[in-house]
Amino acid sequence: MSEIITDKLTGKTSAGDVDVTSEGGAVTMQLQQGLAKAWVNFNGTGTIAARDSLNLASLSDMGTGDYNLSFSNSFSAATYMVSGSASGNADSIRGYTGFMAADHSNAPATGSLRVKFGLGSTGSANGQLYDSVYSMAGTHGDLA
Amino acid sequence: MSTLKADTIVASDGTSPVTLTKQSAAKAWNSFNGTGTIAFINSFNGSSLVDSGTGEYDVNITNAMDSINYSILASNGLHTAHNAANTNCFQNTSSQYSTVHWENNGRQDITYMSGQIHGDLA
Repeated sequence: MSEIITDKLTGKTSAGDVDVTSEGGAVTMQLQQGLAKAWVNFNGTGTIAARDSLNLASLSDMGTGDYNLSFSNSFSAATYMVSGSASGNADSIRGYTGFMAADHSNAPATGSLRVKFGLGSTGSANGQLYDSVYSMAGTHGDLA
Repeated sequence: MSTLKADTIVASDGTSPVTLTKQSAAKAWNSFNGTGTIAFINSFNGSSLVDSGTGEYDVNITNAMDSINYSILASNGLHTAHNAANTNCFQNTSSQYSTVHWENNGRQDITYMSGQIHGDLA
């Protein structure tokens, strides 16, 4: 097996475009697009704190289950994709099931993102925002 | 610091994929508005969306996976009435998965859905 050891990959024709061959060899796709550009795993209870993160400049508590993430390196547009999950809520009805939601009532910005975490709804109760012990969010898209 | 400049990287046999040491890239991701005429907000390797009924959507990808055993991670935005509930997803084929958003035991259209796929491409 040959191995290239380097600190940085840059596209030759276009600096931000390095293609890699698929596992089955049928296609090539852009490597950068598949890489998560920011993610965080944090404790959303009490004095919130990130356990681990990528490209996270700061994390702010905006209220119950409501957080603001600021990125070190901004996205090129505010249409980046957001996903995530939450768990660790000792709720008697919902157990440990939690949700993460991109909060578009506060529009995402290229340098920051508002996310909310909480408990899912049940047959008799609506969902509700909740501080979750394990709060996780990640983003894909184009960095500036 | 050394910098390697290249447009395409393949394994030394000229066809196989390179190994990213202890890392894996998503093979597709997308976000879309699931209300009204549904449409991608943003996507990578996403080809089209199908509205399959209230709260249920089919997501088609351009370059197929090598099997139906890929991983799907899906999330949703907030619904004004119920502060969101849960989003399920399942693989239909190597190039299509379905995702369903639920609120209070019922399927519900929602303005923000997102998903990402990990696994091996064909």
